[in-house]
Amino acid sequence: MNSGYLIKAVVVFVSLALVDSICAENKPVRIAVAGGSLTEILFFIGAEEYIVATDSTSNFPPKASEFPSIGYVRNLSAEGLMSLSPSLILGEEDMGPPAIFDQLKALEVEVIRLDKATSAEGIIDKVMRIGQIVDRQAEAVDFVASQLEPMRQHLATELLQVKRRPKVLLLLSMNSGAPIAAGAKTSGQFLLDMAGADNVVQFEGWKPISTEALIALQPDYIVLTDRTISTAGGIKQVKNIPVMAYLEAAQNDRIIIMDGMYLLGFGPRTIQAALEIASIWHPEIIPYGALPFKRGVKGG
Amino acid sequence: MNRELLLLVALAASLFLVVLCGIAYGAISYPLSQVFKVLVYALVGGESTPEGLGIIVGLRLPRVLMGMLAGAALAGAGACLQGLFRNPLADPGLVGVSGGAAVGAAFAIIIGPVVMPLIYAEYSLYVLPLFAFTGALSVTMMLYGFSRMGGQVVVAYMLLTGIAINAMASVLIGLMVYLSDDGQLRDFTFWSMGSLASITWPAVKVVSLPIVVCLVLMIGLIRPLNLFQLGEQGARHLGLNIGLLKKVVVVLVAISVGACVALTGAIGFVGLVVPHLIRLMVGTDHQYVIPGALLLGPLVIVLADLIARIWVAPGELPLGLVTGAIGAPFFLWLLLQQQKRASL
Repeated sequence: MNSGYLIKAVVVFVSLALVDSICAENKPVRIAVAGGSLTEILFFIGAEEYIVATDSTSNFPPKASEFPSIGYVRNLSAEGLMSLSPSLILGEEDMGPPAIFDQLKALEVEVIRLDKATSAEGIIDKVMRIGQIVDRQAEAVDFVASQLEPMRQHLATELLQVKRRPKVLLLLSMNSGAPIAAGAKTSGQFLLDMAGADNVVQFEGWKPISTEALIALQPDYIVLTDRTISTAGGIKQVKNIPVMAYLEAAQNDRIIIMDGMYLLGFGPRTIQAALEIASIWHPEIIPYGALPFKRGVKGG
Repeated sequence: MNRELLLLVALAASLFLVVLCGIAYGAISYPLSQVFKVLVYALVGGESTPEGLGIIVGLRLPRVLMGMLAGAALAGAGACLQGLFRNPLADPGLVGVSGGAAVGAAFAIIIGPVVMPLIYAEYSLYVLPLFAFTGALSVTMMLYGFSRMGGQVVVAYMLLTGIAINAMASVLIGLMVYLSDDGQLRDFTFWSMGSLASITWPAVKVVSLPIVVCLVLMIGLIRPLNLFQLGEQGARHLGLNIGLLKKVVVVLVAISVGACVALTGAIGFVGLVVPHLIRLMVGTDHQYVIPGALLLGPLVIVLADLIARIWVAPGELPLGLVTGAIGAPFFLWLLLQQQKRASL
């Protein structure tokens, strides 16, 4: 199934392209993008010239934030969007507020909402789908075949050899009150699944976790985003948080710090993030070689 | 013409101007002549559909109208409550409207999709306003019911009951926020900062009648509220039915504020501060305070919404942020002026 994935994807895209001819030839495509991972993909497949605006989560590559900002994905403004005269509004299932779809429909703008990716396969699907939408199928296939699929396959095959899955704690915020941990059904959980680790946290969603429970759980690794570190004032300050004294992972320098969007954005780079982070807690994984994107580990 | 009346006329004129600006300006700019053409087309029709019809009449007009309704309802309700409580700190939140609406909204955003997925699949757009309105109404009625338990409603007792009930509401909200996922939490946060972005024509049509009826009845409260300022004893001797007045005020506030909060989310500041601003300008006579609030409230909201739409375009600011940002400093300035005058 693993090695056949690319073939399957190619077949899907060819059949889709035959049935569904999105005519990008006649009119100029002007896309307002609502979702950081979508912007990332448009850049990777060389379709950034179609972008007329991005949302506040579109911060990679740095050029992505130079477009006019349509604000936060859940809080879009119909007239604001229309002021850029887009021919397409591309978003994910979290686009909102709900009324905006009726408003945009009345104004006869095309809106495409993609499902959120929750796995490496999902990310690759998203790339192919966007390639098809903007009529850059060849570039999308090439990007997937040369960069994403090899990483995905490498990770999948290597993880088959893994005997022991580490217990990992992924924290979003350590600023005020109890730290916010990634529970089941969060992007954090999906990333841990991709990287062959178990979540120490059992509850659903991003929720505050009691520090005493943390001490009882004793995760093997603690993953933090760089935002958490910078708002706390630095890795030293994080290590000085009282609970850290009781966590073996913190005492043995098994804290991993990564760029938030790289790790949890579920754009193409998240596949690499999973590979990178997996090779930290699974040293037996054979190194992949040159990683295509700028690495996300910030030390720790 | 006396000074107070002149002020009201000036307010009405400014409101008219602000409403015109609200219709004419937005993230997309049209020449004024085009806006005029579109409005004429919308009113009397014409041969060809003018450019911008969908934006100006489809998107802007309903928000401006809803902004006027919401502003009048919030400020009018605030003025009536401050009169009833004879307390300048009273606002629609005090009788549980806002807290109740927030409980309803949180339920609709966080719990609803889990317990009634079929209804959401079909009517998701209507669930939130309906729940928010139901929440506003039921919490207010509950509060009124509790304050009546001793036989008659004592205003001070109602105030304390309000604090208790609001505290319970925030516990419920906190509990639901705790259960929410990231997206739901964001949605609720935005709801609690208010917005006119989701207002559509059907929504305006549904709420305009009940709100306008409430506003007209509020004008009818001018004399009773003036009498009430003499104290309950005095007012009763002058033939005022105090029990009825309390009931009417609470019902009017619950319906008018509940209906608009259900659609716009919580818009802070207006209900509390607009009546104050008016009182600082025209004195305490409800003959001027209530009409003044009914004019200044819409003015503030329509203006704030215009700023919210234009400032970070193509994005949009939450309305409650803007009302607070322009209102609070202005209010502070007015207070300082008054203090200065008093100390002279």
